[in-house]
Amino acid sequence: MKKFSIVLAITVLLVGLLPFSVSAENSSAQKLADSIAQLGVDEVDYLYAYLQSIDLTEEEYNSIVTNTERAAEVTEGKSHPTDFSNAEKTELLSLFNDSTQKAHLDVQIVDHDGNSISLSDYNFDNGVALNIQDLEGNQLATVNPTIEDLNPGAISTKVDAIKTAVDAKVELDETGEFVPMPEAELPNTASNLPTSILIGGIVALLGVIGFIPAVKLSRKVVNAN
Amino acid sequence: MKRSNKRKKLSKKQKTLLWIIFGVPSGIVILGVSIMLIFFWDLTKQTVQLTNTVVNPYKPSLEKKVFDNEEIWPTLPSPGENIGQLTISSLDLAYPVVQGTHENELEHGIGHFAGSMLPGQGGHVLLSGHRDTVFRKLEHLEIGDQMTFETPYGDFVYEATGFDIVPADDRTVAVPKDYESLTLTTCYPFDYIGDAPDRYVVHTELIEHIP
Repeated sequence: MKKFSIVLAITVLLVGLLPFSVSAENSSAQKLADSIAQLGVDEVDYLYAYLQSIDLTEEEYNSIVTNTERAAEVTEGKSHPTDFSNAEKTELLSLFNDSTQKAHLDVQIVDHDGNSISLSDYNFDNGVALNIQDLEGNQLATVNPTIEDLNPGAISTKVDAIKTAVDAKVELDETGEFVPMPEAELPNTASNLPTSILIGGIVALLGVIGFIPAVKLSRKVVNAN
Repeated sequence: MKRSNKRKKLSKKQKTLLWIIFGVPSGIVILGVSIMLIFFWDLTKQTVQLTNTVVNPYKPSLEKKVFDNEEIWPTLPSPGENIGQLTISSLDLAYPVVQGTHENELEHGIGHFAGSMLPGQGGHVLLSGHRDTVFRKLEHLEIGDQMTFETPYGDFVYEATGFDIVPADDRTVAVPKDYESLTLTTCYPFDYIGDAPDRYVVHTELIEHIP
């Protein structure tokens, strides 16, 4: 009877804990997906999976947390991009670079054609985008920054998002398995090939129609002689 | 009046001399300002470059994380990596499956949605493909038709159980499930030109795993 009671108690405990564990897993997964979205990336899924596929060392994690805390201090009390001194802008950029490297990411600054540009060239005529890649050079996501992203409030939100993302990643690591995204839009499988073929067809058709007046005109010219 | 007369009387030699007298210091001023501008520009560039370079460039480990509790797929595939082949014999369809469903990856085959599970992990596997290439024949699939997902961890045989048409922004299909299933998606309508407003969804269930 005593053994039965112990088994029953353990069973009740396990059954009770299971939903809690699943719900904690889902909550961490949601936290990771939301924080990645807050960074302003175009697609969340690759970064979501990538962050689960890397081993963050304790030093890397601590370094990211320290950087985000420092960035939060720098942005505190600021309401406009011009409130930052040059030294603060420099420090924020350095903290960002350091954090992305510690998160095993390679961030390239590119124009809208995907060509790499250097900040020191001051040539932003063709726009600026951030290409986020893994260490093998695979494209994970793109950020198209707007002028609003330079506001201290937006920077602060993104800094918080980085901290939340690594915290969620560490929580998910404890499960020892890949945790899927809680919910997502279905992939966009449209391709522009049919549209391009249609445009080509319309142009070819216009060319064929153009032969009608051309033939008439040529006949008139021949008859006039 | 006298002064102006004096000016008019300046000889060519005197004028040349005056040009030299004022030209030399002017040239030196222009040269100095130019040097200042060039080096100021360089200094600004260097400052920006310094901010763009972390003081100690960091090289993280390139090794992938190994999931302790995953018997198969212990590491996650990278985007674009070939993870198997999907064969639907009733449609005479067989295409490679690559990790990822972004534009670059979908050009190389059927894409596995990176945020979903992989076959054999006991969850929801989501595959997507272009409706005008790999999934062109998907509209002819019927309930009961079987498909085989060949992977490095064995062949997984699924059976079509139902179809759905959902809006492009639907968020109820790409969700986790606590049982093994495979979902195929593509754009809908099949003959639509441009970004299709809907998605065609094929639901299946796992009927066999051949290790």
